[in-house]
Amino acid sequence: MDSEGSITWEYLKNVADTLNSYRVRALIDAKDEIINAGRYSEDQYYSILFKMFDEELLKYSLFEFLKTQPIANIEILKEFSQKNSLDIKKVYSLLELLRSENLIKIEEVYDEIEAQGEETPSKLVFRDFKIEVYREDISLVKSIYEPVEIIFDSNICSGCGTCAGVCPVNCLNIYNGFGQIDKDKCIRCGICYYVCPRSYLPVKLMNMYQDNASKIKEYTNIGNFIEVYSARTKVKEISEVCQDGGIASTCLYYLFDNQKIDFALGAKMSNTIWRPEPLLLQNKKDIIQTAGTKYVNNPTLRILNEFNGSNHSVAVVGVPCIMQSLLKSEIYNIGIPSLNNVKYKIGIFCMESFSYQSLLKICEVLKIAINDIKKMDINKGKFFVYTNNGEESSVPIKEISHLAREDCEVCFDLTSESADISVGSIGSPSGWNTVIIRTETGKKLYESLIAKDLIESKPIEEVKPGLPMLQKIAGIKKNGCKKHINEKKEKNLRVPIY
Amino acid sequence: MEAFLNGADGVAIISCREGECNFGDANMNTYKHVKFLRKLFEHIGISPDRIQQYFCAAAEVEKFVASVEDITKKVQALPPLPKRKLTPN
Repeated sequence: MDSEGSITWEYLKNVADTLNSYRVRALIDAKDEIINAGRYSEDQYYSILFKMFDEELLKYSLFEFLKTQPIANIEILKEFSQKNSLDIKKVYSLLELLRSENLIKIEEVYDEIEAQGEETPSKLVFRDFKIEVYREDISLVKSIYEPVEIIFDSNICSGCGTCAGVCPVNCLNIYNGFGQIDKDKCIRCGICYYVCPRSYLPVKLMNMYQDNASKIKEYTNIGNFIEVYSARTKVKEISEVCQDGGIASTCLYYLFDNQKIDFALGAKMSNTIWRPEPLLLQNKKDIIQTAGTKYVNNPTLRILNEFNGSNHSVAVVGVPCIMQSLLKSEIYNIGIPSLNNVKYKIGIFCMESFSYQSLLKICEVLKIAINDIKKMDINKGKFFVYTNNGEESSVPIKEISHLAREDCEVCFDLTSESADISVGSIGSPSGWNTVIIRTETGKKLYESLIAKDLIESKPIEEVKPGLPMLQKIAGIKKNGCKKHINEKKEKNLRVPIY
Repeated sequence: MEAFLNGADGVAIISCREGECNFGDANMNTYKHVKFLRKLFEHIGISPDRIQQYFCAAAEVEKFVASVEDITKKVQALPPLPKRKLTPN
């Protein structure tokens, strides 16, 4: 808005409603607490506050606009996006927000296309939305945002650490895969709830954002992607320590070497062996510390606040929940400086993770001391452990899967569908990585790796077991997730809103 | 904001001086809010001159008059804000 001339009374009304929004209110009232906590400077505080204000204002404007329409459908959304010169995806994201706050109800209307012969079975094609507005006066709705405590308590926390990394008063911590909150410090601003991948996650919208140059338009078990390769590193230091193909480490190697990033986030082993902790990588020497898979949950994003300064460029290596949370905060951008600094999202495959305690139990089953373990691996349905003496022992996954974190049961994502580039071992032969390229950023990065002769790459079709295997295992995870969510719903327990 | 919605073009908040408030530090709390609102007005494109807090004690008549004159002058220089359209009935 440039001048007072274009302001309408309705706009002023929306401003007033937004000022009553609990989310904005909490931030205004807790200014001193936030500045004293030392995480954000005064300038950053105001930029977060005004960004939050703008988002809420848009949301309320959309709500008021929908209310005035006799029929709210997709045409109305288009009209709103033109009137406010907004991207239609943005409007849709606001719509999802209103839905997750129970202010509106969205019904999707599908057309059925009849089957034509055996080759083209009947399918449903999306036609329109039917939007129903619940409440008349938004100023009567006091939307109070719970701290992520409710996510911790209902055992669905992914342990990604985002909440702890963005909390303006530093009252959250994730330790050992479990969240802790300092209730006295908490200002109930709800930022943690806003960024949490397990509070609500607009999956369809995220697929829309990821669906750029994707060749395969149909929904698959491994998300939208551009290309899939099988690859392994040529960098000697990395190939000596890496889990399989070393591609994730090689990406960081290239990015540091060519000054594309200032920092990277990853996981390193802490002083307690096999208990990882987040690490802020500052140069390519640090990569060696982070190579290799750790099967214990690591709240990587907990240390987001370490690069709150402006104009850094950061890469994050992490599991699917970390990527989900990063993409979610890209869609619902509230101007957290550290999240805006993330330029590369390197995802890794993840079936489930273990807590440190259950890893100790697995060691008991295998009759191996945890300090003797050199490497762990999940392969061909078995959990392998290699000791320092060169011994190898294994246990079928089925026998230990009850030890995995309960919180991971509600995750549907095996292949980091929200990342720029996903790396994992499933689908490729031993010593190689399966690499899924999902976005233009990921594509450019991968092409540079080849151009600099850092990796060996071949199309996935040339290797066994290849994509079918990956699709199958991703399907197992998706079905398991559906089953667990339904179980939880039957028991009336809280589940993530996907 | 309620005042603006009901047709005011400017709002003057006249409170006790710092430390003299009957209700603890309510005047300074208000000052924080006013400071925020002025920043917000600038952000959304409304002149921050439309809202102003003045501090004067109950006996400072001249100061009170000066405050009111000050805001009136400032607001008169600005175009009127949009008013609510009244619907018949």
